[in-house]
Amino acid sequence: MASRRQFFKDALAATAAVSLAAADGSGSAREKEKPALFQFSLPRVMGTRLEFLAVGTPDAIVRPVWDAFYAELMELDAMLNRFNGYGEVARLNAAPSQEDVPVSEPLAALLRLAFSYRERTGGLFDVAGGKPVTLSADNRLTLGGATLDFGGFAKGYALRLWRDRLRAAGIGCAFTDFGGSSILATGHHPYGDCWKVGVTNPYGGGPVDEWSLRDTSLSTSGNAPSYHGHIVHPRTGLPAEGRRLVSVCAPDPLDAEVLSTALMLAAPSEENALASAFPEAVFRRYSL
Amino acid sequence: MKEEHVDLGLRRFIKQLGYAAGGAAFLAGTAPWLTSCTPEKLEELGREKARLALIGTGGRGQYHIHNLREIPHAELVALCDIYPKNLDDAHALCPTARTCSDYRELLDAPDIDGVIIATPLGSHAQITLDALAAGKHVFCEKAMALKMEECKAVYDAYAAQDKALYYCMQRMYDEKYIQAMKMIHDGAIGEIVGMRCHWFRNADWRRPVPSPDLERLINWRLYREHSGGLMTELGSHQLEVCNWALGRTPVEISGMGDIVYWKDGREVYDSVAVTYRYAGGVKIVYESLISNKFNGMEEQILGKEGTMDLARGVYYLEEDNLLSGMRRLYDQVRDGIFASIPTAGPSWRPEVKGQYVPHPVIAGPTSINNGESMVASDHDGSLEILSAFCQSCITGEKAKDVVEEAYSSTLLCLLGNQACEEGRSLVFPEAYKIPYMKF
Repeated sequence: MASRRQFFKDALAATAAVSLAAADGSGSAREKEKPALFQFSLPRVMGTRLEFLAVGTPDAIVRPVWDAFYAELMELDAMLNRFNGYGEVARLNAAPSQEDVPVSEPLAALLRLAFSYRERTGGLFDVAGGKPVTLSADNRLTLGGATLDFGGFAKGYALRLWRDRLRAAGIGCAFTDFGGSSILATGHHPYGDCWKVGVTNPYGGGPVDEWSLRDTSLSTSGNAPSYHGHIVHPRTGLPAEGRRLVSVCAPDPLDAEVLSTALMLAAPSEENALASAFPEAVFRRYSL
Repeated sequence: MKEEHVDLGLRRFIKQLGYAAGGAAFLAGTAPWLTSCTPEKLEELGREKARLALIGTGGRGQYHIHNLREIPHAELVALCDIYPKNLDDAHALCPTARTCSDYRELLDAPDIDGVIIATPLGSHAQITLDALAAGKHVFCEKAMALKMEECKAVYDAYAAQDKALYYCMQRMYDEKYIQAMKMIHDGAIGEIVGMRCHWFRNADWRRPVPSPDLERLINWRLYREHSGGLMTELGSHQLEVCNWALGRTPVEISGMGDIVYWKDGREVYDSVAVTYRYAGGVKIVYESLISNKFNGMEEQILGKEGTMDLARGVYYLEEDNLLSGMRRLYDQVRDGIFASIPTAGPSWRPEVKGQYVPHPVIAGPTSINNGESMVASDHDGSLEILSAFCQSCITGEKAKDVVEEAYSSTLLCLLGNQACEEGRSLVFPEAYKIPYMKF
């Protein structure tokens, strides 16, 4: 474990959360009325970038919340990352046993959560890629040759944890952008009644839509010129084709994350079932 | 007359700049040589024509003849070459012009305002000095001269008189380069941290020779008495744009040069790798060879925030619009503004080279030089700079900074060759610094 700790330490040094906070000691009285601003940024986590802006909460309150979340996020990333070579999922995938193998309690809990989404989406979202993977009550996993992929789940789950931490700390005005595809809008913009977010066209050109978010989350899935065919249908094994996006707005970031993937794969006949399973979610499709 | 639109293209661009906020300041700052060829000044010419003589009627000279036909304010009255075949070919293109084999015959002719020199590099300096001394405006092919002392002599002569002198540094008149430089100078790619230029071809650089005694004359590019090889023929353009981007001249030069493949009796390198270091450490890594063309021709200005690919007229951003979306939000909140931020989309991925998205520097179709032709590339600024020269022949107005840019880049080419030759790192010599240069 020493090497893994060292890895975290290095990662922490390399991605040291940057605070652009401006404790304004010399400004005019009017400037001093402006809310405190804190921006944190992690350039590399879960294969993308995480950015966070808190408005109006002092650094002394925000920073410990961020630090705790950062440690949790690193643990989560290490466990779910398929490519790091040492995490639990990476090791399971490297030798997908036909026999049942014990898994850790945290991973077992995530698998149960993921399997619940498999049920709710009628199998459109599946971390096991459509394979009959099972988990026993005593946390023994039977992969049967399958591999696990928490893409389309991990960021949403992390944002759910983050949302809960922000709530618990009473941080009521913040914006979190997880790689553009997962956004958590906490409260509203200090000078508006929501956070306005434009959906960008990865094929170029201006924004294709605008969402007004307030205490909710937005997840966007789709194809991009440099990243195409990565959303694979668990039942058919075929990738979602076409220049299209789906954006899902839902109070729970994990719901939004899972649904945006499922909707990229859903046949028109399956949409009603998804809508019933996630009554709080709103989605829009974009053809580019 | 379709080519005339190309000429108008640059002038239209200048005109648009004039209307744009800060356009005049931009012209003066990023491309001051354009201030002498504005559309307004062109209009003042009326029906006047520049009367020109072409000295050197080979491939490049004949290319200029084609371009001159498209320039309404140009009239080619004389042709000169010591090689009869080229002179005949050129005369066929321009039958109204008189011909001669000794350029000195042209210098006293009162019906000639300016000369265009497209001879081998080794003769550039002498012809230029003679023509300026005779009171002619001069347009000379790059590079400026074969030797550093010749460059200095020409520069001093030019600075001491009032005739216009142009070197065919056509990138300075190429709309996509100008617009790209504007963006660089406006900070679009952030602080410049490095530059990479290369020019690769796969061809021997030889031309057929009718008799052995003409070998050195026709294949002048291959012999050191006439040519600086890859550095002066190709590198001069690319080093100029690096200096243009950074607004400075390198202080230190090191390099290696070899004849790797074309061991056919030539004297100039067919492979060079030269590094130029500016004060502060920004470097140009320059490479050229002519036995593999996979990498083609590129000029990349590397900034902390993005990369300008000058030859293709596109730029790439390091963090593209996602981070800037968050930055925008930060700025909005700080400034008390409520607006939308463009950030939602498919997940941003860490960028490797293939995942950068090219953004065009100018809208619409862009002409791109693939670097393969030995003579010229269409729409690369050559017509525009020649047109600007013709305008100067009529107005007498010098083009600001063109000579200085050509001088700086030629010195760098020659120093690059010297560094290769001597196998040591060179410091830019004090004796060849001119007031224009910033280090």
